[in-house]
Amino acid sequence: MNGSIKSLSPLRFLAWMLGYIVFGAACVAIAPLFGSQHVDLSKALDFSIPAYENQGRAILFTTRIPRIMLAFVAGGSLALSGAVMQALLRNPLASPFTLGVASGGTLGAALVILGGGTLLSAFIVPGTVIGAFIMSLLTLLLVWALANNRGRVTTGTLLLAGVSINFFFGAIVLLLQYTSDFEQNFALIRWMMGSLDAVGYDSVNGIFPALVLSIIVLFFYARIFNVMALGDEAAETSGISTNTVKIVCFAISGLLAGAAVSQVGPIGFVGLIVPHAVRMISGPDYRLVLPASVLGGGGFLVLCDLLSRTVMAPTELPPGIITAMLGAPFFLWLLKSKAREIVI
Amino acid sequence: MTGTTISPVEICNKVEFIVRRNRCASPRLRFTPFIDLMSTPMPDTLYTVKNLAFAYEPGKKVLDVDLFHVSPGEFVALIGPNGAGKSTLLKILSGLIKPASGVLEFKGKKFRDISSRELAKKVAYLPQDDEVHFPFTVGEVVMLGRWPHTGGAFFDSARDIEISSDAMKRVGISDWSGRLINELSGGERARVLLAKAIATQPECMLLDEPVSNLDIKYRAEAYAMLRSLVESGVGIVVVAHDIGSMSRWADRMVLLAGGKIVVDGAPSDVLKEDILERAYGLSVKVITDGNDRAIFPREIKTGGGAE
Repeated sequence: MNGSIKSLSPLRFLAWMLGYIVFGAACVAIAPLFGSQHVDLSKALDFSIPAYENQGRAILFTTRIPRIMLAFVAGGSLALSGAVMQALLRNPLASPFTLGVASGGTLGAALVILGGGTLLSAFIVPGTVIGAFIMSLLTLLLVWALANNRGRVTTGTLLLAGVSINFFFGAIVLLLQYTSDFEQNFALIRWMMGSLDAVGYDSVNGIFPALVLSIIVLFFYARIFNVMALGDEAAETSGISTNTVKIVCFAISGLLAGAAVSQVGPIGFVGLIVPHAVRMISGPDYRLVLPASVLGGGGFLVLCDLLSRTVMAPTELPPGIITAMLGAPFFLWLLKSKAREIVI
Repeated sequence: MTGTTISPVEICNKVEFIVRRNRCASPRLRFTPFIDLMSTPMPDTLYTVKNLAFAYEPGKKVLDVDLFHVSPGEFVALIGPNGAGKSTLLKILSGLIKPASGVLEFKGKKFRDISSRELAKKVAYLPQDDEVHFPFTVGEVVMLGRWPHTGGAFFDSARDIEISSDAMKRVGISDWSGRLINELSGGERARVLLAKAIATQPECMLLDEPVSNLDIKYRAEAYAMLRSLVESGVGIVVVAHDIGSMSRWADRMVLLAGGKIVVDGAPSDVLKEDILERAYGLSVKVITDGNDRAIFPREIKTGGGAE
């Protein structure tokens, strides 16, 4: 056994980051080449052909690339949100949805779909996006308020409040579904399965600013998360105001998950397994876990989307089905092969 | 003093301090009060606690301490029955909980004037229940003890690594740095967390039952190591239940019962049969062998408590 302490040196950090960047970039580079429609790349990128005659270019730039970018930023946001939740709650089962963000978002979308969305569709952004985003943030606030006991918020009460709200909102959504007509029901189910359909870059723009802002802020919190892994008391006596950290980082995590869920629906599993997978690959140090979750989560959802577009082409599968069907076996394999390195 | 005038309050404080210090077991700290009063300045007391009260619920005081001091180079053991307020006092000293009233000073500065980061550099607190989540290596956990000193830098400095390695050497766990913390036994984890506390290079250590999971060999090693820290000037406050073996290492024992300090003095003055019997509600026999003491329960009264 090595006697000296292996700390995260700048060189080791850069080496790992390079690895994750290559993975993310490779996923993004490969994905546009495949799809239900064959695109001749040399023809699509030949700008001497006028745009109206170049169908390949239209497919590539108005549907495929926006879709891949959407998958990347959504996957990265969900995974980063999950990594933050796991750090704050010190619970390996925490995910962006643990605190009710997804169920709140679903309820918001359901209310818009059932309410006809006439009021909200006056805006350029689809009504479901607005409804889901507002409701997911309101839900997070509600859960926080419920868990707040005289100014102190403990992990256990927060988790229980989140889980209770999940069930409560889930029940309301079921009730709404039961009373809705066939068309509304179909729209709601499709929303709940998640969708990465994108035409143009509006959806990407709906997530990207939240992701960039979060990455900048969380850069300063990575080491604090390491200290907080030893418990709230250890963190407090190390000079960290854990309540402030929790407030700031839950807000960020909620913003990330809310932005992603409102654009692509509640695509599960990414936020739970990607942080664990990167932890098993490059260790639990949050200085690596956070950026690696963005790149790994982005790459993972791009790959899942690629599969969802191609396995049953020309039919597209909802991406949520692929993330779970691909993610669960991969995660279980990782769990089995490195079982000792995960704490439950 | 340096020739300046000295106020009556200061003289009283000084006399009080000297009288208390003379009760210490350590011969190093014994000196003549009068010469000391006039010739040497009062050393920085680490902790000064006066008339301190704390209640988790209004009206139900769990702690009511008239006077409590910790000096540099002093090994203080907090002893007493379960629920006596030992851990609560330690938490107040660590800054985790705030007292309802009273004076609480660290090195002559009021607690509310000290930032938590500043206190964290000088005081290392080791809680009773450790919880380490996610598979960090032992080396990484010990390095976290350097956090208060890092000032938010993204990477660890060579000096931090060196100090952490030294701390591990001191506890005798140098070759564990690659082991995973969640694979260690409770006793092994306790030693890692002790190394983390030492890596902070504190002026005072607050340890809540640090050795309860250790076997007799590592227990003796840990206490001897703490004693060596004390000799180098660190003040240590330990909550301990192994009061017999503690008497060999501690300069002072502070016996708490029902939230109040019952006795504060050298182990030989505190570990007396009648005192312990009243505090624990249990008839005991104390056998002394040099600095070592063994305490045997004689007759167990059901119901317990001071009657």
